Amino acid sequence: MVKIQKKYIDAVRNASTLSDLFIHLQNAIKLEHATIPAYLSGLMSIRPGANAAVAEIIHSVVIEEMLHMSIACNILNALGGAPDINVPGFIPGYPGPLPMGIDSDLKVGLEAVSLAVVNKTYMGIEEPEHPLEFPVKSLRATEELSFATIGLFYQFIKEQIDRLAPHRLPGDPAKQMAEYFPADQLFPIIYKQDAIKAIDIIVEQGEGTTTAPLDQQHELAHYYRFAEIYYGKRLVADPSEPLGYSYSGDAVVLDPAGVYPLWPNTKLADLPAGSEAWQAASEFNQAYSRLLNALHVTFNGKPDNISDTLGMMYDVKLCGSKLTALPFPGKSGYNVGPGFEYTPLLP
Amino acid sequence: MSYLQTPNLVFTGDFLADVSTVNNDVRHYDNSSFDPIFQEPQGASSLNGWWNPEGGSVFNLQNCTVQQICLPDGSCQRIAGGTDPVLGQLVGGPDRRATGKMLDIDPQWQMSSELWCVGIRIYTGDNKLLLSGDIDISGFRDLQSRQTDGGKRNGQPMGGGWTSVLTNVQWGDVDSPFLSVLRKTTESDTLSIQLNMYGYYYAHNDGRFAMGRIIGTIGPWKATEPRTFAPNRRLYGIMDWSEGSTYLQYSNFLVDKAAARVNVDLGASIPIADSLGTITDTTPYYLGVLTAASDASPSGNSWPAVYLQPADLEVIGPVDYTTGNADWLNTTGGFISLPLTAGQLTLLADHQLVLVTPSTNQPGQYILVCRESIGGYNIRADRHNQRLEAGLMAGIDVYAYQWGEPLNNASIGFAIQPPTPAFFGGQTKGPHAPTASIPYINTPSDGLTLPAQLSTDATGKCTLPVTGNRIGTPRDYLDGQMYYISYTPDNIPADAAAYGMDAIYVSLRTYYEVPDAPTWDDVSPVLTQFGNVYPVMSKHIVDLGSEAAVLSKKDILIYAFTRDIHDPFYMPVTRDLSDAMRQTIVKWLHNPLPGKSQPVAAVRAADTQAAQAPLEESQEIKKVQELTMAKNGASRFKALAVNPFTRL
Repeated sequence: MVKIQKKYIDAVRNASTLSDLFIHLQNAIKLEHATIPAYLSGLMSIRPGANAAVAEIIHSVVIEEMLHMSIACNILNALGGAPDINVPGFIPGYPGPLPMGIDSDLKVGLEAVSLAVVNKTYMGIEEPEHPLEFPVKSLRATEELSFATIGLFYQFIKEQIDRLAPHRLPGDPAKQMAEYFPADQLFPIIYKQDAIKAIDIIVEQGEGTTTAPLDQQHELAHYYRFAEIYYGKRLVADPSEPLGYSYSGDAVVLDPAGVYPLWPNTKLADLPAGSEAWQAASEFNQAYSRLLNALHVTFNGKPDNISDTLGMMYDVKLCGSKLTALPFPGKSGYNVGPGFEYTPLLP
Repeated sequence: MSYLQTPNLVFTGDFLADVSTVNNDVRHYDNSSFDPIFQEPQGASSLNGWWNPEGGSVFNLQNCTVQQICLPDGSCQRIAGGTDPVLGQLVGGPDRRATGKMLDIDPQWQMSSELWCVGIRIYTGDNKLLLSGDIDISGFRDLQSRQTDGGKRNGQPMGGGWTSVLTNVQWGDVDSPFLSVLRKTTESDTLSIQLNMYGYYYAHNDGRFAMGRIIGTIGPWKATEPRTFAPNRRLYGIMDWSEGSTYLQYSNFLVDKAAARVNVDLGASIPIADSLGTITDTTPYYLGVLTAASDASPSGNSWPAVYLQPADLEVIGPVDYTTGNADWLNTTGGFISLPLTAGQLTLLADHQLVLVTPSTNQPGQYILVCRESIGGYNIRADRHNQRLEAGLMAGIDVYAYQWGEPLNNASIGFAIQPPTPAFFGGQTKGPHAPTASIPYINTPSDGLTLPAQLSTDATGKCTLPVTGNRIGTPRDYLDGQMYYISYTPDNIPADAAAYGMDAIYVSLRTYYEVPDAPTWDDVSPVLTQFGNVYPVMSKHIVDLGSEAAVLSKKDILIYAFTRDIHDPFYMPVTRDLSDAMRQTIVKWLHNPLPGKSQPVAAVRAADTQAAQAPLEESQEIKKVQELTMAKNGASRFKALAVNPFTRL
């Protein structure tokens, strides 16, 4: 599980005005985004046509991380802040902790998918504090935490919003982006209750509820989707089990032959200057940076721009597909991984 | 005005064009004979999907910088020693929207690839904007041989150019005196832009696969001018340098009367030794103007050389270029500007500009390298590539200039070229050679209605109305028909060196009525076809040949098929789908009725009108073809007629 550093939890709990929460929402946006390059690296490592079920699972989680990022942007805008997406440092360094994460804890890299990566990294990111159990914590508890989970982090934010925000939130509603997701998952955040409801969606889609591995949409939470890959079977309702579910459904096969052997955490600087691989890696970084620029525009007052970003996501995908098929010059047996390095000056 | 008019700016650098090549061979469009090997890269003995089957059609600039600005007083500044803040700044594509695309209007017209959705920005190292704009759709012209090494490293020796305008121009906050002057000089906040390219790589060498060199020149624009060709004068190379190859074949030039200067673009035409623009030529070139004393205008193609006597011309001045490296093209873009005396200016009003080199065998005489057309005419169609639906009319502007001035009341004849076989196929031998027939183009002759003659107005312009009529599928496995329309000025001396291969190219869609309740059978032939010729889609996004796969991506496909045609995400990226078929696909996606068991081939045959049977190549047709080709100088053209992006 991702362990959030104590200082962030303390800062949230010590917030005394709504604007004190801005930096925390910005960090939440960074955090929701930060898993996407890791999951996309796994997705892009899958050879075209291979490992379809695994690809579909990872893809479905990426879509929801994008939803969570959108929700967090909407909340920040609703509180009167502004998301900062196209800046160096928005994308974390890989391998490394996720934003706000404890450095000695879970390290996330950009790697080809494998059972080990699914278990250690993907399930590690999404793991709730207690799978299927969720301890109830009160703000007034004297118990000292040395860390918190993402779920707890969001709970504290939620509680602060409830305490500090007026019924109608101060942000400009015209900045809210509410397209391309079902209306019960992505909606304009105008009132305090909208923000609270939206945070619950994020938490439950990642971690599930306290009694079932499902979220509000009755879909498996991320942790359990990845577990299906790791255990190699779908998680299905099972009346014979005390918890009501078991990994006993259809097989989910991850065939290593259908995965490109990506060099982990490839950086542009690792590739020979002036090589075709360098050029392809540079184009990938450029495409991703253009996308972040467009998302920044979208979430800073032009929500209609989201439709342009769709096409750009496909550009990123195609750049990535081209890149991961290339052998890594000088590293026999490896292909080039996507760098996800932000390029402020786009050539 | 145009890009040759000062104030103008030159930037140079690289470009990317991720050309899609399965569609290079029209026979790959035949679903019934499609072989999956057509999606594989070419092999040692088999073309397969040629050199980039998974190309995504992306076009963008890379590594470009502003190198030179030239001002109306004839002075130029370069980065070294220059003072204007625009010098040395970066030039790139869009930074917050999808990149542009490069595509052909039809598999049977691939010699004028178009730029769509391409934008450029000039910006500083800390990302402050100086200038940005969108490039109007433009198909490239003036394909000509550039590399004297034959394209050893990169695979082909050609270059070409796009002429266009920059619209939606944004002027940044950075204070540049040059940009201020440009802004005041141009009209309608629109700018002229010329993009000359060379050195494109088919080969996986030097890390430059699918990349080439580009020179961009930006100048002022006048609202009465064409948008996709320079309304100026031209020099035509007439000298045979080696076995039918002519360098310096097409060069635009402008006589600036107010400034008393002649500006010539040699960036598109000067011979280069390699793919990076290294010049090893040491020929001393001079610009000159034929004198009144010379009535005998040099005419025709020239092998061997035509000699001019000193009295035949007045020498304007030397072409100042450097040799031994690529610096000259990289820093000046090949833009030459020379002052004119009053006498030369007067002569140029109705005498041909020439490019000459002093003869070594005949001292005192000059060898004619390039000349203007006989009579100084320049007649070209603007927006010469057209997509047309049945029942609609397109107006295609054709401009006539003489000595750089609009030519009023010029008579121009128009005619659809005869039915022509065998355009844009490929390999004919080998176990994997496609087996489909290459369709005839330009048939049926009544597919288009257009007048046989028009006269220009006082702005030198006439507008050709071309109406698309209802046709079935004369190309059998391929929708629509490709028509090449020749345009020939009447009453103008024939000049084989000039006018090149220009024609008007109309891609007419098959007439089709959107069914009330389309089924998979109605849409699967065209979707399967797209999936076949664009493996970037079918291998990486969605298998368009599979009903289940298509339905699994229903929402994004509906989105993609309902974009405005100018949207970078418009599907199909090649924009070669009829509107009726597009609507049918969208209609089906909203209500995806399954197909019946009727075989697709039978359905297709029922839809096809009685297709005109391929004609026997009669003597008559052959003669007409030969005459047409001779008229267009195409005998030489044929040797050079390779689109750098599709060449074998």
